[in-house]
Amino acid sequence: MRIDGSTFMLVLMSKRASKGLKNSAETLQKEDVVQAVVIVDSFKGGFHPITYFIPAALVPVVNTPLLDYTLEWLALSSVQEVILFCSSHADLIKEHIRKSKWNELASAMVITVMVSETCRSLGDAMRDLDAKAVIRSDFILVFGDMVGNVNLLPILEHHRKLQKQDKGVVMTMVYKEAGHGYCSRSVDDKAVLTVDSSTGRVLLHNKMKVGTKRINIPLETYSDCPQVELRYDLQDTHVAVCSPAVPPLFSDNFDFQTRDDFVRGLLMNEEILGSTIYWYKLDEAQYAAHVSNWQMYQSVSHDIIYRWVYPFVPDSPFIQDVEPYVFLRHNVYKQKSVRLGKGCLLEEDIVIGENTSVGENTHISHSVVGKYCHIGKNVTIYKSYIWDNVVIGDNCHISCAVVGHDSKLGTGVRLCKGSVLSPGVVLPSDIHLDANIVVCGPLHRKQSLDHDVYKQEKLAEKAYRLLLDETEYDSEDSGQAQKLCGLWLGTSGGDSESESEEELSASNETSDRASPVPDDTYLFFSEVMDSLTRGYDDKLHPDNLILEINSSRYAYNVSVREVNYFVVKALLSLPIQARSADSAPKYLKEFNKMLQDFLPILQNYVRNSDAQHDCLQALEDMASSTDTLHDGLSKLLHLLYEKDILAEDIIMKWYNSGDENSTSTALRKQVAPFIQWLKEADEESDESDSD
Amino acid sequence: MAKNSNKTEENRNKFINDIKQGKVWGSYDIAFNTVNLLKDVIVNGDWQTAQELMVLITAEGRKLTRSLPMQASVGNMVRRVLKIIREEYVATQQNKQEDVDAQESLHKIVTSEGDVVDDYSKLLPDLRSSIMEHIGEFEMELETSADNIAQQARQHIHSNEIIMTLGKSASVEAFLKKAATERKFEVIVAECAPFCRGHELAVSLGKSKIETTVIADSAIFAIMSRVNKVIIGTHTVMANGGLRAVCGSHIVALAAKHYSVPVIVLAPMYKLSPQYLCSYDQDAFNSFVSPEGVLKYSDGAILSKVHVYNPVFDYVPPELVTLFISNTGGHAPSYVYRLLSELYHPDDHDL
Repeated sequence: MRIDGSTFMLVLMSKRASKGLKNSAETLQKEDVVQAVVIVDSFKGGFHPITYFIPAALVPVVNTPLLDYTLEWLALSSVQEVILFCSSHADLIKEHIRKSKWNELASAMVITVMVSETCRSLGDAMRDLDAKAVIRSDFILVFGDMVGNVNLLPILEHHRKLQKQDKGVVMTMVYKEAGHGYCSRSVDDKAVLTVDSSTGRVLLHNKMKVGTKRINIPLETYSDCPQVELRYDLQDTHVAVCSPAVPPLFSDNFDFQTRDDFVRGLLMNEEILGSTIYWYKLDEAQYAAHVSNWQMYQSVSHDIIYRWVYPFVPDSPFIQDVEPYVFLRHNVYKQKSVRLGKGCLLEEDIVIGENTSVGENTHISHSVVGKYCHIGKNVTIYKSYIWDNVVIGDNCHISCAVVGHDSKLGTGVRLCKGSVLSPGVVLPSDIHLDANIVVCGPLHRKQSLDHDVYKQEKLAEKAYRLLLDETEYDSEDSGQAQKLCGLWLGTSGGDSESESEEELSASNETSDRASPVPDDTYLFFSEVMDSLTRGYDDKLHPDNLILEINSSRYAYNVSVREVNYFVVKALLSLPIQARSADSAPKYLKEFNKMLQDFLPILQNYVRNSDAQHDCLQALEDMASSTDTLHDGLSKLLHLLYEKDILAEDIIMKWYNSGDENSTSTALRKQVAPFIQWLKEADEESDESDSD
Repeated sequence: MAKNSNKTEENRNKFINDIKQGKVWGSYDIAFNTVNLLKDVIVNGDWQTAQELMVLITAEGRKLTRSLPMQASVGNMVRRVLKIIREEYVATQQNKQEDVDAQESLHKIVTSEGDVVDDYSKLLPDLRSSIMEHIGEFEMELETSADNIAQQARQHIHSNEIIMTLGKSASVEAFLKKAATERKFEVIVAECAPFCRGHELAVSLGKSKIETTVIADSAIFAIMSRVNKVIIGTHTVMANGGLRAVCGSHIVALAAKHYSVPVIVLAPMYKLSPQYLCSYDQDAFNSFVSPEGVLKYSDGAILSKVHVYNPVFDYVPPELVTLFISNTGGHAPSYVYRLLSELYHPDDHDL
């Protein structure tokens, strides 16, 4: 019957022979089976620590597990054979596949699940594939946590065409143009791509780490090519078409761990390995994205709700056993079985799953609510993602948060600014959480592997708050820190609605700025802090400390002005660290005491007007971040003025140079009395001079 | 037996996938394939009586329409096949009785209401073959429907007329080409953004030596005063005679109303649906695709600030339609209800 079906198809096809693309797809199918390798674990830990409980591929995006999106998409692209490569949580993945429609006999796509517990990276997975020799021809390499609607066959075709021109082509990477200022590009994936525009060959691939301002492009890259394109407007879809030569390449080079390693290694050793990489730009109507962290989670959810991923939108019946959603105005998707209380308001961009009940006077906007949830009365949910079977008590306020499966929230709970509740958390009433991660039980050391930087604080029977362990935390783990507290769900404070979306795009920019301390200077800062703390405790001579600071300056290659800035900053933060200087007077007392020892250090660094500017800058930064300093700022200025560290005109200049933003004007207001006094003193002295 | 149902399921999945992947396109192909699927159920399915068969077909139809809610012709075909089964059942049963009294008097027809209500549960030996025969005839009707419509072209298009159409409809294309063999006339094609299928139609008409002009959608009203007739295709004809047609049809119809230009809609019988438009909101009527054609993804920051909708269909109310041309001839929108009762059995309206 199957044969009948396909011959029937062929008759149809020949009837409409003019459709070129479809014909080519047909011939492609006849040549051989289209294989796709799906790496189910992304190995990056963007959803950490949720991934202790469920694999990243089963994280629901708009109430559908990511893996379903990936598989549906591959099926839509007529992929016939899929190799699922799992490492952690393999049993859950297998169970999921077993229950899905792909397991039915009538399914057109064959799925093979491969498990390798020891697999730690993409490189390991590819080496394993090579060892098992399951790859027969060109294959499509994707991750298990992707959302897309790209037709992959034309890309495969393109890859084969390239192979005819260039024997060495091993990989075609797929990119999508994404405009600046939109949140769809993951911060991990920012890269500048240098390509030969005539052939589409990738010449250079520069990862842009947070804070990177410049890249180097060697002269020889564009000396051979007549035309070189530099692209920084691309969203890495993480889709790649690979030649069968790729797994052996991974086997030969043990240092290839990630795809970036692979790309870099290949580009660097192009002559030796004889392999080339090309790129493919998706046309406008196609979409693909890799949901690798919470930022991407949010932006992909947004794109699904805004229908960029059509046909994978909630109201289309692409998951067969789920009743399709009803699509209403203002991007509200809800299922028929949803019960809405009197006076509840569904504003816009909302998805509500089946059998969920929403209480009276509840206000929901920009959010996704899973199935079988129970939401109480007078609840506000804004920009949040509530998974299945969640119970939310009355009067809760949830903004920019993720609430995992089966969680229970008592009445009056407030979750703000990127809080994440892992599945199964039970929060008692009236708890306020701000940018915290809460898990349902203590994480065992075995589970947490090498990520031992958390401290756990018990909030309730089934709620443990994860905190950064200050003692073990050092600057090398800054990435880790970001994972914990960044969370991207509206990191910049203030959840007023008018700011809503701007806040999103702004959070991207602030992320560039918020952790702007590039590695070396940050290391330098912590070094200075160490020296000063030690010096203070052991009563070392200031000259020795200056020597120490200067030597670390050379070690970390920090500019003079940065040194001034950081030294002042370190001095200012010293009292906070050393004692419990929790109020402004106490802080000032402490600082005064310290200054007796450290005045020579200040005098040594803050010599000229530039340095004084840096000093003031440091003061301002510290004051805007710490409350105690904020309150005592004018006193502090006075003190420094009296000690002849800061000159009057520099202070005045600083005072008049404020930005428009609220914090700096608030600061200026705070010090206004002192400035007033300065002015008066100045006039008085003038007068006395004239007298 | 399990093997058979598996095969049916496999075929159904393949059909659904083909539609989703865009391999099967156009309502004729979809209708044709649906009938084939249903034939498969009739031939291989496990049934004894007409009632059992109807349950099977309805179940199959429900699965299909759930997976393809936007393809009204799938549901129409299921209803049509159900009607055929009912007719054949009654006919074969009557044949049996007719052996007893061959005469059918007017009196009998009028008073026969009582035994029309039947549960279709009698065993009739040659039901399967007669149903298949009837479906064969129906398939013939399907195949010739496009041709039948085109044959009527010369009655509606006269020399030196200016015809407006929009987008690309296979029936309109055939209709115009047929008319062009005998008469000389001019065609204005609205491009029908953002999909711009009008361009394809214009190219195709140009190749057939028809004088064709492509206009932007915004120029429809301005041009309408010069147009003699609007001829459009449709996706579905609703039960009240309204249209679910490609986005832009409503403007064309409104502009035509303003200038009193007749609007002729080409709709083969398989596009007639017993569904009504229940609300002017989008639920279950329209389909919204990716906003790509309206706003580019690469436009950046603005994307998160605006809602962009890209609807595929328009609802055109029946009072804006002058005439339907189906394979059986021309009908006024007010006559659609009558056609529906001929085509489908009222019990099958809800699958």
